Amino acid sequence: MKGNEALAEAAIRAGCDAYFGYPITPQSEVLEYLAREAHARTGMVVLQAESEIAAINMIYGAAGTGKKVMTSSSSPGISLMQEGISYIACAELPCLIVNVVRAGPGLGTIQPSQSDYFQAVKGGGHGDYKLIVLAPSTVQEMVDHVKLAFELAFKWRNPVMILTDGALGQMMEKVELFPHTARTNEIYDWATVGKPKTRERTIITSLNIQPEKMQEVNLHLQRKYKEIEKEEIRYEAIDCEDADLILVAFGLVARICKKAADLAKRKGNQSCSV
Amino acid sequence: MLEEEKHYEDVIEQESICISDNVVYDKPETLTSTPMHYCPGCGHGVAHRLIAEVIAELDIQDKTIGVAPVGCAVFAYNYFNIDMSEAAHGRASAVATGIKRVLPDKYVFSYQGDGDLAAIGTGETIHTCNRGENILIIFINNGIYGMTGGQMAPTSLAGMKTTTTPFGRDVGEAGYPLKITELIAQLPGVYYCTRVAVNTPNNVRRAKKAIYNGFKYQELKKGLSFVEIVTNCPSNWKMTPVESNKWLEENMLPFYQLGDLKVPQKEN
Ligand SMILES: Cc1ncc(C[n+]2csc(CCOP(=O)(O)OP(=O)(O)O)c2C)c(N)n1
Ligand code: SF4
Ligand SMILES: [Mg+2]
Repeated sequence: MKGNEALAEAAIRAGCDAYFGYPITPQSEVLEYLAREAHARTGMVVLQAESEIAAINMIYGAAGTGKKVMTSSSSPGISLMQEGISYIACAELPCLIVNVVRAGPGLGTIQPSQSDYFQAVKGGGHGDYKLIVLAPSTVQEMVDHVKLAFELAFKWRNPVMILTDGALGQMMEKVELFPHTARTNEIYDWATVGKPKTRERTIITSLNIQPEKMQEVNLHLQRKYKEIEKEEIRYEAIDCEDADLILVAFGLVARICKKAADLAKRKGNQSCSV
Repeated sequence: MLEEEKHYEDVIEQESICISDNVVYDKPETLTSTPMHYCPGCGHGVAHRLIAEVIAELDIQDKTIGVAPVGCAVFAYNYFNIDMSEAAHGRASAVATGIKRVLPDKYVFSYQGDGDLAAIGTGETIHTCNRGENILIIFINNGIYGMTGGQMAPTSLAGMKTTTTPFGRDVGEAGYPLKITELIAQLPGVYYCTRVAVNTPNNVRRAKKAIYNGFKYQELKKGLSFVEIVTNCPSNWKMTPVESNKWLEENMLPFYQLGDLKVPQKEN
């Protein structure tokens, strides 16, 4: 399957409730595939928004209800989403944001790139927040990371980004799909679903006008990010034990490095690993 | 109950304000006891009360989700005793869309100022309306940016003095006051579109009826309802509440004329 389509298929199978997005190359197949496949199969909501700004704010509303929601875009569109992502991070809502990176700055090119790395791992928008970022290097990982992303998003109540790129999005590889998970109707105590008489109202907000409250929220978020760093770091180390030279890479570049290390080994340099 | 609310409940209890055999008009259950932060005489408070009354009368507290704007009503969720979400400045109708799409059987409304809805959020407003999202949008038009201290709004009248148009709004320079409600009324996705005010008792009653209609049409899944409430901003208009209502009547209402802009066609 094509990377973008495999990712979209994985979202359906992961029991995703809603997708809101806006077309941009090299990512549009996600929206197109979902528009074609999703609703009929699982009742998943798929809506083409009028902009990435609208899309991320639809995500904000829908994520606040406790549903599994996602959006996808490519670099310029992800830049437009940053204000909304910052709100979502502060309000501690789970969601999946996929960035199929293209090169920039500016309108740039539709060719693949890893140039949004810092935007993705340092937060991206205003304020001290961080995303959980997963970077697939194969189409198989594009699939597997969708499921993992939703698990992590709900476990930590934090937006998760899949940071992939135009090459992975467009390339075709064999994939093994995981079986369907049914969409759930789970109701979380933090979600806005309508207030019954039996409980206090829920409020989704990122507004902390009292400086003490803002500080408390920030300290809480930083503690959470530290814990996530401790528990959730994932990497693959290939024959690194005795290596003289270790190539460190993520995403598409990781598979290029694998190849380079293989070639080096074949040429007799045993100590190059990834 | 939030700490702060509990405090005010206690104060009210102690003063026995509400404990009377003669209560004829009470705070609906859908409003909290938190005193509103709005300036004296501001229309926001009246608009809140009307929405809360309608939700209580329709008995839909458990099915209603509100979306607060960025503007003076940013703390609306402190006053409504219902589930609510904030939205980034201008994006309330997109947030409301997100909620409604995943919870189609709930009642969803957004509450937005003129800067929020008709400047920074124009795109979301038009497209939400054009999709005919089955929600209610309440649009508070006070002709000014209240929260940020009285700058020009898209709806500020020609010649109106604001902090960013200190010599009066020059329409050649700053553009014309935007009648976005007239624009919205043209969109086929919009089922009901009306303009009301809350400056007199009669207008308050009409405004409540309009809000009631909006929720009712939503229940009937008719599409989008849009209720503009022309209000005052005594503080940034630099007037007393009474003066501001007079100014509203003499200046705002001739330009933003009250009445229905789109009403449901009779179904045979
Ligand atoms: C992205 C962004 N830009 C600007 C602001 C600053 N801001 C907050 S409220 C506001 C205007 C509010 O005016 P209006 O929507 O008319 O509401 P009112 O206070 O008059 O009820 C502005 C410009 C912001 N919070 N976010
Ligand atoms: S600044 Fe204006 S709109 Fe805001 S609360 Fe005061 S009177 Fe109302
Ligand atoms: Mg205003």
